[in-house]
Amino acid sequence: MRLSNFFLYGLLLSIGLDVSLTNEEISRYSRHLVLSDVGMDGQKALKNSSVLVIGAGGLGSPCLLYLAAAGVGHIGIVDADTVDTSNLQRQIIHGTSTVGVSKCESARRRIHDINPHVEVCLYEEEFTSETALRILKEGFEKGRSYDVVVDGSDNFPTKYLINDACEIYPVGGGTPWVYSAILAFEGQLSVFNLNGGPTYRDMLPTPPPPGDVPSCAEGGVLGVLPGTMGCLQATEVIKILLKRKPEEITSGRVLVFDAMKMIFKNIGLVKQPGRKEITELIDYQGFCAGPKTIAKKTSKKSSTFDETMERSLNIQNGRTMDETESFFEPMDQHSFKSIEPKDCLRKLSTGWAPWVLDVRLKTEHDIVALPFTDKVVPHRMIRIENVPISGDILVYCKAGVRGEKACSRLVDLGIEADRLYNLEGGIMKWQSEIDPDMPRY
Amino acid sequence: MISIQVLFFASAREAAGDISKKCIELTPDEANTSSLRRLLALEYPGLASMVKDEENLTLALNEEYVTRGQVLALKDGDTIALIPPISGG
Repeated sequence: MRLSNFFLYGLLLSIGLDVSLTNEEISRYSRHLVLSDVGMDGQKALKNSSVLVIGAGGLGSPCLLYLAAAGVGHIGIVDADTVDTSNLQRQIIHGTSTVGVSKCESARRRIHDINPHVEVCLYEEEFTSETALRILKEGFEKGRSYDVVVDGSDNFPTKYLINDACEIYPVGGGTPWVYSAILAFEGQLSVFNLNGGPTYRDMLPTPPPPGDVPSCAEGGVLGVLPGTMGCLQATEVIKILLKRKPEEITSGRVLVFDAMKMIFKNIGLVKQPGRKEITELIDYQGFCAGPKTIAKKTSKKSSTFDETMERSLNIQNGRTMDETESFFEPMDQHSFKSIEPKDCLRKLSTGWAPWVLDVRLKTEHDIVALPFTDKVVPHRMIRIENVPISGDILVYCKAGVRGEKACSRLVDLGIEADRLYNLEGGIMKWQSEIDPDMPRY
Repeated sequence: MISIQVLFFASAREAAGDISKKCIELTPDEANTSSLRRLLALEYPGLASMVKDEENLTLALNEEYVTRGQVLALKDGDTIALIPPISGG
């Protein structure tokens, strides 16, 4: 070694220049460091990066775990929910020991166990039109600009909101975001708004009518599916942070995964010609509720319903993967009755003998059901032939929402509204108020 | 007649009665995406409410999304995928 180099080495040692990875970090990330496509520069880039994950649920869990393990330096997490036992089948960042803890805090504990070098910023609130830009902006003001946003949300309104917020902020291009959605055995993934590439609105300009697409709570989801999709999201985040070429990233195409057939398909996506630029956020609940329904947030009447939902489904304030997504107020012309479990029991014990219809899936009926159920027909498939031509009909579902829809549908099909009774709060409210020995699901 | 391959994804597959792939014959008059939606609705009543509405079911022609509002011509050997929107997480 020449003297001058040795002198420089001594100088570096003494003032600690160019040491953005400690020896501990170097051994921690050694499998990355030997990869020519990551290396020291790439690993430092990850350390200097900042990623916002919206939702620490099925998709967010695995994504957060891998981003943390990979050494992404700053991670923001948005989630207003708390950990529930029913989450643990797929939300693997949480555990039995954190049931009842906020998802944000539970995620932070696990992340810091994996990698204490990660700076975690928690937003224990909902991502809404009111909070979205502030959250995105806060990352900037604290010098942790969110380089990428990850969509771990479970409903259409939030997906449109993420899309629009990422198009708006920051001015001059916005933020790339990694979309995913899952249901049953199928997943979708794409990177939107990457260097001006196509966005969610190019794939789905307007949402499907409310209630037409089942949520995971209603339709079910294979636990490992969000694991697969969340890991794919983390892969794309890391590649974006490593500034990989656009053609290497899922931009301008949507990856569709069929877990049952184990097939991945790429569907090309182009920008819609003449699509309007997004300049402001809107009421996304209203946007996704469609013209026939009333947005949840504008409805005061829904408060009792919300209380029921919170009690029976363990939702804190979040619109989580539940029936709330497709919630709508029954329309006036559908003036069927709503009956509280306690009133229902009283009526039944005084001789009322309605015909009882369970409008959940057969699989849900097998978990727990009212013992005096006459028929099981999922609410989407109800036909007039399914119900008797006269007499009262008691309709029930899990939490009351599908029951309302089923009653509306029956009225549309010509059943007199005054024959119809929807069990308020569904079988879960019956469980909590009448029969605590029933299982909850 | 021209013959095209239709692939059913997710709830479209369920609605069609657990069919994941089907070869469909079209007359030259029917050889476009709009007529195909009508024919699928007739052939699969369970799929009707879904397939007739662009918001409920997106089409992909030869692995490219069909832009909303666009009616594309179909030719022999084309593949159409029916992709329902999903939102879970």
